[in-house]
Amino acid sequence: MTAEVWNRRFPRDVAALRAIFEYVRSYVAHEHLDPGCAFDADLVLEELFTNLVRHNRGAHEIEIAFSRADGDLVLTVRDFDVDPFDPTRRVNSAAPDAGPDLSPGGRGILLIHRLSKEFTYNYSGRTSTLVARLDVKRARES
Amino acid sequence: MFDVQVVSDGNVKLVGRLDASQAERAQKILRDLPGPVAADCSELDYVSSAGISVLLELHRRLSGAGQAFRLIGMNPRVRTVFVYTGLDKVLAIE
Repeated sequence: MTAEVWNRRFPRDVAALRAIFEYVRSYVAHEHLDPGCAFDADLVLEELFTNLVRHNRGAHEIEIAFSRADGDLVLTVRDFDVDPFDPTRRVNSAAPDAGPDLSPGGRGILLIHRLSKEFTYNYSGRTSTLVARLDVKRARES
Repeated sequence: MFDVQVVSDGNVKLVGRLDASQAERAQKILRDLPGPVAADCSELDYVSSAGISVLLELHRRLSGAGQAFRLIGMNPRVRTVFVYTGLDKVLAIE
């Protein structure tokens, strides 16, 4: 059985965040997930999306996809026709005992590391693909 | 949507979602706010790193002038964002 994947493209603009959050609500309701998952997904997607908007000059739209894997919520963000930019390596303060990172970009990436079970980057065919995997159970409990 | 309601002198209420699309607007509202400031966060539903930057800037401005900035009544999920970034140790969260 093939897992269902939702994907949609959004304008490269922070004003698109509202539509992205509505898309998250729709998927969370469709999957009968706890509202806590929507909060975490909103946060991870906002940080990923705004990082790409700020640092890349690619296609007009950025793709966001949702899927499930072993119960986890998998968030995928694709940026097309861009140079390599790996935000997973932008901060080395993801260690649990790291002190506060007071730089604006650093804080966003730190949040993604904290909220995700896995956070990976892949670059192929001038497309950057970022994947964050959220533990649905942890989001429900926090 | 995000809003700042001025309740009384030095007391404000942060309402809604403070995300990157609202950060510039929030910055404009908060930058002229005289201190000290106590911000009721009981109706603050969401904050991201962009929102935290705005609050941190206000904290820096007020602390530079020797005035306090307190965040009060935050819900647990919003508080988690401050904890994960380590800023619960920098800002006065009650």
